[in-house]
Amino acid sequence: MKKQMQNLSITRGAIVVFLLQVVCANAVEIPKFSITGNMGVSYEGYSVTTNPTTPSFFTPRRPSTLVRFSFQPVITYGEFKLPFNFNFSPSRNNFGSPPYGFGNLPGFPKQNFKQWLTNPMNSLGLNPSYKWVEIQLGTQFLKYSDLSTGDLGIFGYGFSLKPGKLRMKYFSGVSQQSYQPFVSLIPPATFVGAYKRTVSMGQIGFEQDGKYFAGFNLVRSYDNMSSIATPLTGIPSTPKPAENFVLSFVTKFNTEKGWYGQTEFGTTISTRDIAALGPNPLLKDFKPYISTNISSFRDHAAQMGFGKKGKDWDIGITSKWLGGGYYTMGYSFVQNDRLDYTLNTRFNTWKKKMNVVASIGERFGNWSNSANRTKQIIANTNVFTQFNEHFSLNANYNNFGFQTPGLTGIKNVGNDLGVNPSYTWSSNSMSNLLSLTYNWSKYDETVFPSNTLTRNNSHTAMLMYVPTFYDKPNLSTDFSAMYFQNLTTPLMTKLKIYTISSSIGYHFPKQHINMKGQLQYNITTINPFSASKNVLATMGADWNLTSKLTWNTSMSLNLFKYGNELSPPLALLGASYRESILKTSLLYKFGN
Amino acid sequence: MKKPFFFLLLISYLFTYSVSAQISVTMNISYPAPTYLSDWNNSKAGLVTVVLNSPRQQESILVKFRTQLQNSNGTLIAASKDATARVYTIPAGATSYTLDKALQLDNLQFFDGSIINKIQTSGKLPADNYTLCIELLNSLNDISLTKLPVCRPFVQINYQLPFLLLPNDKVWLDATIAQSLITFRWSSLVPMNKEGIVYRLQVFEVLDGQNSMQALRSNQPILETQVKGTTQYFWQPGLNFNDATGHVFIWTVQTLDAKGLPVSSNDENNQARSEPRVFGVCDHLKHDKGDSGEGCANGRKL
Repeated sequence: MKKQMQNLSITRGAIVVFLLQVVCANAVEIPKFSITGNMGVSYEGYSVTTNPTTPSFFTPRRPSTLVRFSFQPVITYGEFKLPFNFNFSPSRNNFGSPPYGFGNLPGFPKQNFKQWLTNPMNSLGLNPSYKWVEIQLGTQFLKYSDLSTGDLGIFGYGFSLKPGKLRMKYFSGVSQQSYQPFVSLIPPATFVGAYKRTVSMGQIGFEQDGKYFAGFNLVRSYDNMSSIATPLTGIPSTPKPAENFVLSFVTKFNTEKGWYGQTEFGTTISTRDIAALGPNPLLKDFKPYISTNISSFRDHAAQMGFGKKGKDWDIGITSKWLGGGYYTMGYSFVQNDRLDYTLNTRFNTWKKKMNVVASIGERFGNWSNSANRTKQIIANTNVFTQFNEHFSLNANYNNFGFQTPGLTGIKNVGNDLGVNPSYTWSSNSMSNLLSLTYNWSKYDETVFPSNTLTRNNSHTAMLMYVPTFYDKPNLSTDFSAMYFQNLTTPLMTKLKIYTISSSIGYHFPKQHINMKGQLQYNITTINPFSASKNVLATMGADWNLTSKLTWNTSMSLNLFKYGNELSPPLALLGASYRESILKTSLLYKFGN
Repeated sequence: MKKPFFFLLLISYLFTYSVSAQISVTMNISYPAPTYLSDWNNSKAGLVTVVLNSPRQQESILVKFRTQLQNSNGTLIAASKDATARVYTIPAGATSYTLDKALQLDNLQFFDGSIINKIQTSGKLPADNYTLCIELLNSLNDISLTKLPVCRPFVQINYQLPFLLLPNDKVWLDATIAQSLITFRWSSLVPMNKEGIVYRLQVFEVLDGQNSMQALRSNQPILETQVKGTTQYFWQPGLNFNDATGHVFIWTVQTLDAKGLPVSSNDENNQARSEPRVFGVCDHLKHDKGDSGEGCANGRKL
């Protein structure tokens, strides 16, 4: 009886365990929590000393100190993700955006918090997402397409929704805070100021991941007129507050048979001066998006690309046309009024030992002005062949031919040919790599105002030797020598550069430290001047303090002594400068 | 009965006035002429001076400006509408008006379809030699107060900024050679500015965690030099490229006129900066460089 009871209780226990297992198996999994990504801090110190100190002949090319912080963890909890993208620095340099290098002028106002937030040096972005909902906060680099939103950072808010095949995106923010004009008497300098610029964008379309996409993009950007109290009206003057509207239609597709393609058609309406008189008798309003005035114009653009790829090959054609008045504030440096097309191919052949990458195309500038239309041929070929395990050869040819119409038109024509054979061999104790690079370059250009054709002939030869010692697996070293010559005719100016260089590295396995160093010596001659000499010495170490924390440090010293090319004045005969750079950074990796 | 008498008196007065008063008009157009048509509407485009020599110093007259624009063939391509032209009061003596007051862009009617299309799409007149003529009209009867229109020629130049040619966009250069020398080439400004131009070459290093446009907008250029009379530059960087991750750079050329100001061109920024290009430097003998556009070993991407 007792035994029966025991059997019963065992059976009951087994049933309970079984039921528990079934329940557990069918229960909702507890979401997993994880943190990946990294964070770090880096410091860069730079100093330069010149001899003599006056007159000035070399200007510093880095800020004296640059500290940057990064914080980029990704917090994941089930289907919820929270990626951080914080990269920031207290420095303000701004050479390609307001205040265009004027920020260090004595008396120039310090950047306020809003200016710091939208400074292109800094990006502070958060993108929490759950399933198909993504919220976009802070600095975002949103490239909806090639002809619409752009590649600038915008600080604001928005979302991206991907329910099923529907795609909806919206974002609005500030791409540039306002800067008031600033005039400095000592030293004399004028900063013209910049208006606050707001960008709003939206996208609606349909997509099946990896197969197709079709959608519309709308972007409106505008400057806030009241953000500058007193614009400068003299020379130079504050740029006028502008407004821009973009509408584009994009399609993309990929098929299982390897066909791919994409098209985009865009139209922009640009107003160069919001304050100009209106209405424009030649251009109607496009309300509710934009109202035109006499400074407004509208133009179009299109781009397309089609191709097919197989296992070992790919061939395609791309073409792009930008009308003379096609502007987007997001791609503010794009050159318009042009048409270009390119045929690209890539394939492997000769038992996959040879890889060929080639492209040929043309670019027409000033497309709307046939009298001054420019034509440029662009052709590139690269052939890499691995003949056997010891010998490989890389050969490349680049050509660009830029010219304007007429016999006396402007010419910028370049032809570059390069070959790079590499040979490896080994013995019982070591292996060796010998690599030779030779480049021949010919460049003809029309020189103004003399309107003469100048020819440049350049030759570059570089030989490199890399030994590897089997009994010293932690040691790495290499040696190289380079010769460069450029002859410019008819001036008969000859530039020659001789370089020798050697580097060494050593890995200390117990300490988890990689040490490396390099020494380079250059002699440069430009006839009729005497030679200038240059020594570059670098040293560095990468130390894995723990499995998650790395400390990288490098120092470099650059000594340059001129010949007599800077004199007169006599004081600059044999002038020299010394640059020293210290870089150090700590990087911590989250997760396993 | 009173109305005819009044008009007779007025006509008689105007006739007497036009005989007794002398009006002269001079016009100056700033050089170079504004690139965008709308820029003619700001106060810097030029100046019109009207001198009214009147025996009666306290008198003033009401006038309108009639504007005409001709192309290099002498064909009239635009003219102002007399009926809707603004009326100005000119006192005795010399009075100066900025050119926009005389031009009245919003009152200008264009006749040539291709020119209208060009203005609609780019906001500019097509590149050509033009003549701008101004007449002063009596506001009451639109009769010309000047013997002949005052005309001034100007040239409309639409510059195309240089295209950056070498290094190609998104290519990796060999670190061992690049450490000694990197060659930059770009096309000329078109059409060539005969007064001479300066190319300001700028190279920015793209720091870790930055994208290339961030680097261009915020970093101090690692190379900044002014190049005259040629479109190439041999740069000896003097930088340490001896690491596994590679280095990424973005470069551009700013085209400056003889006064050191950016040439007026198509660019949205008014900075005359050519469309930037990106290149990388990778020690690919020691580390796989990957194809164009891909990364340098496990490090930087283009």
